[in-house]
Amino acid sequence: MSSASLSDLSAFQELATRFAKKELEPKAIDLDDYPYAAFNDPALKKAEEVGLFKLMVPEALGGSGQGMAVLCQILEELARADASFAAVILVHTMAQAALVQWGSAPVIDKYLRSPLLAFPAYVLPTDLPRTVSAEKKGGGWVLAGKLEYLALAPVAQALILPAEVKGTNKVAFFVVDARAKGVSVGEPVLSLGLRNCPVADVDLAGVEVGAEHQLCPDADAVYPALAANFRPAVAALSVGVVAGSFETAKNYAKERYQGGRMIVEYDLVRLLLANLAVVLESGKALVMSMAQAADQKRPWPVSDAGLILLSEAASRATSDGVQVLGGYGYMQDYGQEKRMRDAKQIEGIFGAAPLKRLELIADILRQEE
Amino acid sequence: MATLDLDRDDLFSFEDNFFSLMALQKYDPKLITQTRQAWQEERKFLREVIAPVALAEDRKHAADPHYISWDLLRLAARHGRLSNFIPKIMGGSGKGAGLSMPNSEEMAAVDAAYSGMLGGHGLGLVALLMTFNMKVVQRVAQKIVENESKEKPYVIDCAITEPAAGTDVEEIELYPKARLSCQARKVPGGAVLNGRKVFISTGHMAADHVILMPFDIKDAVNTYGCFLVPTDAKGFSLGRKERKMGQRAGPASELIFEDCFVPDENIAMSALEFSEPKYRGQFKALLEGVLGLTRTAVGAMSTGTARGALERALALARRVKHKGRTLIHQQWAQALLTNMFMNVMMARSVYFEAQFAIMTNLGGGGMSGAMPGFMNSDLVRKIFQSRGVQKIFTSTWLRKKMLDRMIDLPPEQNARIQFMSSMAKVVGSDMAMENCQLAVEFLSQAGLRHDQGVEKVFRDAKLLQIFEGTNQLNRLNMFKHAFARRLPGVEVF
Repeated sequence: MSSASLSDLSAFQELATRFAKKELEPKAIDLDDYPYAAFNDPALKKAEEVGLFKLMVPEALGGSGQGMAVLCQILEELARADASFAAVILVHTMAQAALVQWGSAPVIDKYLRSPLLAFPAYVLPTDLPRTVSAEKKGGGWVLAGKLEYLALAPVAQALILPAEVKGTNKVAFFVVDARAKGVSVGEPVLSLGLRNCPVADVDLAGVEVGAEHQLCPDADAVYPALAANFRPAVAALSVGVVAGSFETAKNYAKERYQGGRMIVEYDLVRLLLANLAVVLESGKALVMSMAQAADQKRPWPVSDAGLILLSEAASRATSDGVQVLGGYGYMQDYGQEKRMRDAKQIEGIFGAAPLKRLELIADILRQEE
Repeated sequence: MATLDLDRDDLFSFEDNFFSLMALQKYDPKLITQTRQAWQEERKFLREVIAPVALAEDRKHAADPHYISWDLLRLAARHGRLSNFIPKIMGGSGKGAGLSMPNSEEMAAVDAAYSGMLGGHGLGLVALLMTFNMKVVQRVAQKIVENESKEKPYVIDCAITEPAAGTDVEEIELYPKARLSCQARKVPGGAVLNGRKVFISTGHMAADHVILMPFDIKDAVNTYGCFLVPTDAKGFSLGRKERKMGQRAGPASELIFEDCFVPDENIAMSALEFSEPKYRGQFKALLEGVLGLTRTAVGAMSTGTARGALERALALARRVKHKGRTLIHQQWAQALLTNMFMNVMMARSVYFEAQFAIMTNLGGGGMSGAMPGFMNSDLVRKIFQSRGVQKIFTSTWLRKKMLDRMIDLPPEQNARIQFMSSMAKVVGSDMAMENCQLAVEFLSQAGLRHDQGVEKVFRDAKLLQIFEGTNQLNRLNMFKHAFARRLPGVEVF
């Protein structure tokens, strides 16, 4: 898909801003108690109505065929209000892309209608888990094993998951009905952040699926490219969270008095705000250039490097966002502690931060060979 | 132009820098044995009793925001953890462990929220002790011991923070500009309290509350009082229980006072009680005395929290795999774990130095938890509890002697305690948070899941950078006490 025009971008941004303000902001803090609060279904339905749900699905398949730049713009706005919901859109969009890019026509047709698709977002793309095995049986496959920490599993109708193909040492992706015989999705895993983007462990006890359920035979050949493409979107989540944290901290600092002055007048408070502003302002620009690179089919290396920089910086900056509010920041009321947790959780998407660094440098060295 | 202030020996003096060395001259080898014994016993208790329930306890708070960790507190009471710092002469077990810094570290390493819960109780006791009103102190000590013998938890808290005054009430120089709302009024036979306190640690658990509020908001520093208010007192009520990011075992509570009457016997301290103007300074002495101790304690808790993150990361590193190899065998992981270990040692070094600064500049055993032998002798207990000795022990004469010691503490000695305790708190909490950041990003999924334990430490740790004065305030406090007071014309706040 080509890069979106500027007017497209601002139209989508406006839509997302309005949506976030109306549908997400008022409930974000309460819904963060998930699994002890409801999954944000109402917002999901509204998102579908306004077209935020099939953004990157090609027009021929009933989507709006947008590129990464638009997705990033939207995710940033959504994450500013509620990163959990932005993450739901991200994971689902990524799963849709996997389905569309790798699946055969009947499978695409069937599963693209699924309101939600689960996808292993928290693994290093080059180190997919091999805890589920796939064995050929008759004309199809039998899947067995346990997959930990599958994003959206508790609420999805279909699961996209990796399994090691017996006797080949290769990992393939499969799509499985969440209600298929032998599939048991565990209780939602209580996590550090993005709590309303539910995650669960999944048990597969000899689940039989047809041959067409294998989306790709060798994930190593295709998944790193798909992940590279989506890194700007993860970075957009980080930047969105920072935007929310900055706004909240700035407003609080202008209202709170200590030592007879507004605390925004203290250098030390200003420096904390500056930490947030540095990440926010440079982050917005970086995400856009990452997204444009992705839309121009050359995401690497800026998307890899950019995500490392921004997701780590966002974790540190949102901690400062709590700090500005002092004790009030540590309480749920202002949403600052949620933003700090969300930012840290986002850092875990696509695997552990130090491994992302090692991957980047390994790729750079490989290119030079 | 000089590149160094060579004429100013006082800025980096021997006494300001080598606290552990200075402490050697006072060191009693028995202190080491006693500290180790208490530490070993505490560790055993924590690992056997607290570690198995800590995560489940935290999860109950996620499920129900109104949940209160009574079970955890009862466990502490059953094992004598609420009274073990009370010497035998006052009826306690005298093991000393509860107020020891290494033990605070140990508690936090196993469960930072548990250490925070007992920390609220400890803060109340330290504040009460700093009034040197031995009648009230002994009464509270007795209640703790009596209830504990029946396996009933009796804890207290300490209320300083108000809705519009957080940082303001953690720094003596900010009081004149503070937006205070709580005020006491003298009435025949006692005082009447009005106002609202917030974020009070262990508030919903406490049976008695140690309340600090002034008789005159406009001249707060010189008119403060310290009041002991039972939960069932008329005019007192508990407001909301905050919904916190972590540190959930100990509730953070709102305390509400509506014409709450406190009889004279429960007024532990009043800046107006003595005619000599000097004793108007007792609140400053109390506040700085309390903060000197509690900020050092936060340094110890922080060190434990940093270690808790490391210990959990180390354990998981032996299980989590990357490309088929467990993390513990990978160089990057080894270096990262070593960085975390360095952070722990750094944090501990500073709180130990702070502890030595207190020991050499104020006195005591450096909060190692050890007590002079006579305090735990049965013979001395009999003598101590005799009417004659009690009369002296609770006399105004002795109280003034003790207050004199705090109020007349030479400024440079007080300054060392202040900047070192602030440093213990800031270095420790920054290291704790850093280790949690590292542990979570290191472990990926395992770091993010509640059931693996690191996630909880991450949430627990953040409070350490905020309470007992934000790290920002504490930095300025360090600058004030280490440098500014010796540099004429340099103002801090």
